[in-house]
Amino acid sequence: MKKSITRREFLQWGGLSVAAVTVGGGLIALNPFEANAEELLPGLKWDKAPCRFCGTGCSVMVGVEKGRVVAVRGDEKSPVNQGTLCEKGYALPFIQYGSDRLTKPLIRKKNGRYDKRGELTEAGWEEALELVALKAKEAIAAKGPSAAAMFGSGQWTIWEGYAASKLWKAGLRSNSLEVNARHCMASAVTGFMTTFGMDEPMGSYDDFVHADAFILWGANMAEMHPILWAKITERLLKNPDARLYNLTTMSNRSSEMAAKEILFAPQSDLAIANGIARLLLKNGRIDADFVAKHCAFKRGKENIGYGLEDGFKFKDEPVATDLEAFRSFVEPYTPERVREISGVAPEALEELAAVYGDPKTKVMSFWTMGMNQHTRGTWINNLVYNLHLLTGKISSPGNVPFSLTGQPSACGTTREVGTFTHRLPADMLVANPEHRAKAEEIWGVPAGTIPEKPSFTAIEMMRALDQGEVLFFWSMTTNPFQSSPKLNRYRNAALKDGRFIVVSDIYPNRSTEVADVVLPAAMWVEKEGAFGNAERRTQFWRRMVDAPGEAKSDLWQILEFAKRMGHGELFARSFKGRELPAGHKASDASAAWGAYVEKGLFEEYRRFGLGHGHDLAPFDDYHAAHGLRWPVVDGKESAIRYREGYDPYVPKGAGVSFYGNKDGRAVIWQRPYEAPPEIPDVEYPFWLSTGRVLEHWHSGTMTRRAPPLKNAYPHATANLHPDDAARLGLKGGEKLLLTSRRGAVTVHAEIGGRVTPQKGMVYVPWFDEDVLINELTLDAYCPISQQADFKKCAVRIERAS
Amino acid sequence: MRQLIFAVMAVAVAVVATAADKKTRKGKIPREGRPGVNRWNDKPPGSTKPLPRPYPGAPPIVPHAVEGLVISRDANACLDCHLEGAEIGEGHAATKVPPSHFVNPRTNEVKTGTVTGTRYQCLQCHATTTRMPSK
Repeated sequence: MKKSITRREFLQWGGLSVAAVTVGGGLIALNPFEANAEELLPGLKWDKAPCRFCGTGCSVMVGVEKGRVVAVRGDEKSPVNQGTLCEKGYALPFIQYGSDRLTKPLIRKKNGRYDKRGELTEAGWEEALELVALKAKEAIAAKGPSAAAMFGSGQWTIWEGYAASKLWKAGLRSNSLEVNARHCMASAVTGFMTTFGMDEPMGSYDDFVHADAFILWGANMAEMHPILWAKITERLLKNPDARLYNLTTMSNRSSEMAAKEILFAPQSDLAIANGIARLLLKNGRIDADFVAKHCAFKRGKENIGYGLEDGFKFKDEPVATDLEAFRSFVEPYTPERVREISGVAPEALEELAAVYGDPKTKVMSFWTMGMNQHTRGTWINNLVYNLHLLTGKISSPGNVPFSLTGQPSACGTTREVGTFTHRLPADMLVANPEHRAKAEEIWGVPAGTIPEKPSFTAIEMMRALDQGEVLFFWSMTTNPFQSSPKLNRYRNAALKDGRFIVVSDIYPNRSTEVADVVLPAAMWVEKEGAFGNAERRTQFWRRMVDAPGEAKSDLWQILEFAKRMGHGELFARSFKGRELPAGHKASDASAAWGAYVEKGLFEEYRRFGLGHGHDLAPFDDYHAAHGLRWPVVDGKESAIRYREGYDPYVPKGAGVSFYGNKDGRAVIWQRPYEAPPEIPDVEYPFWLSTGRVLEHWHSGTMTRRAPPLKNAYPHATANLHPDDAARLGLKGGEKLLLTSRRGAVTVHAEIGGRVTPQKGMVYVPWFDEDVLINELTLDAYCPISQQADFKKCAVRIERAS
Repeated sequence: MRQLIFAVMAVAVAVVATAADKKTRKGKIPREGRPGVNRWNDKPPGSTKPLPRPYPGAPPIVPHAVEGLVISRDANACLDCHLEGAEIGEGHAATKVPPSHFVNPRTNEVKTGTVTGTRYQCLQCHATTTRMPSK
């Protein structure tokens, strides 16, 4: 029994192809799911799908028995996760089967008729869709096309986002299309666009095994991106010289593997990045040749505001500068000044500068919401790119500034399809006449159909709902009445007379409770889908099981709505000649149209990106592959962009080309430190930061219905530093009242837990519908990206009575 | 012991998916949340029996407290007991790490004495629980 297993015995197992082996007389079962689940769980039908949760984009093998998902395992053939999953991934078999799944349309009714003050009452699809279409038409008649708004997410499949974009922009002639990704990735997008002229990371997950240093800029990857954290861990254990630096505003699990945890004051990352750039220049640690050949310098406006007031407008005015101007610009960011702003010791700053500056050290920088949910989110994205550009540590194996994503298709759907008010597919913009013309040509609509002016970004859309400029608001695959900042204002806005709220969702939640109509949605493997992850990997899945009751996919819902709005033909022509293959388990949308709707939409969408660096493979290739990273040219995916030999768009002999910009150069930006709009004071002495925990995802609609996750972390906590707790006389588990200028919640204290904020800060995750922490948050945003800052506002902490 | 552990693993557990809440939310808009308090598992490692897996083949749930158990470059508190399935009193052993955890899926390299790098962060796959059976 106790005999240890030898290396030779392992090898004999031949890549784990047998279920059990005999060692020392006893039978040792291999972990069944990693060995051959197909033998251990006989009778299951297995097929691949990307995970439903974060932007890592793990591939999952889904086991189906009698029309129900009963098991999952990590997809051994996926280069992303290579057979493992995190605990959320392993909980996927539960997310479709919560006992309160929505299975019938609901209309708020009194005395049998729609009434804003009525009760949600079961109805048929026909009645619900007719009412939804009527209210959209009324809104458009009253206030114009922009009064009818659709709010989707990075959890839409690619074709759902594409259908919504086409219907809104080419059908309804409205740019009132936004997504929750505005609150998640908008600063990443504007960071990429302003620096590289093209969205999304240049590197990929292949880079992990080459890197020598990992720098986390406010990203707790140990909890939020576990499978990528596993890749970092592998590298750190393999290479004793490899180092991790955890730049953070709170102690967290990511510090456990770190050479150094560097705590900094909220917002001061701007000063830290400029301080590192200054040291690189001062110490002669820049790659002058790379900078001269491949970079340009710019500065933009300063003192740009925070978007707090209704009607706020901002337009940056970039001005070309040069290396000398940049040198003068960063000169004030001395280690001493950086310490004053950030609290970071000069030695730590110098150590970071040495890591970025050492030509032999390959560096990966990572960030997610810490940098994106930031009133200077675009700027801090620019500033971290500066460090990689100054040192030439970019677009080569192991050297990459890596913007991580939070949703499974934040990249694939919202960014690549462009489901924002100002965007069109493949990085194109409604404001650009050539881009509009191309979209109108592909969509087969007359010139001038697409409105050239964006209408509302996410926060503006909520404010417009409050002011009565948006009268019809339809949310899909997101929970905006739990997840929006300054929630008090916007929940009340939804309840105002004359506002019509439609919520397509899978379970009752904080958004369905303010809805006039609730539409039951099919989810994940109940439909055919496609997601795009953080490394530009597009992944498809097939429909595997039926949706419960009368639940229908968002795609079916959008297309049925399109018909009722008089735009059925806009889609019918996309499906012409797209026959369903024999034996294909057709989605509800395909069944309704008698055509392969998903293929029709995808092949049409593909035309937007071909030939200018956004090339996607033909539809059928993705059902065969375990994901492909764009650009896919001549059947070959691209692991690294902008580097000759890796990226087919880089001309021979160029070495490197940042071809997203016309001059082929990436921009090094002069962006100063500017203070956040609300800082703790005598009345509200604590910083509040919100975020996630490992076990839960976003607003918890799915994860709170998965028993292993719900039981692991049942309720949101208010995490405090032990010294602050002692000062306030608070004990762990005590009920607290947290108050900001905008609202209050009660929540129980967690002291010295896995997340311990620095002194003077409280951390509250937002997954818990019983702790609406966004009633406290501030709807200040980055003026360039218009992404809100959920990480910084001022609150008071008291013991709840 | 091992057989018992694997027998437990093989049991298909019918899990009743608990709804997040059974509020009907028809009409009334409750603004006051009812926050709950987390009662973290405080059972010391070694004092509890393995729990049923959520479904066959799912990673085992951690049946004991994890507070203070550090996973760093130099130490892995979980592996101290689970690497070899150490005897941990009252005649039972810690659940042994399965062979799959020693193989690097990318390179097929096999580790001895510790798990492969991508399996090192035990708590990212193995969920903890606040709901231990009463007995």
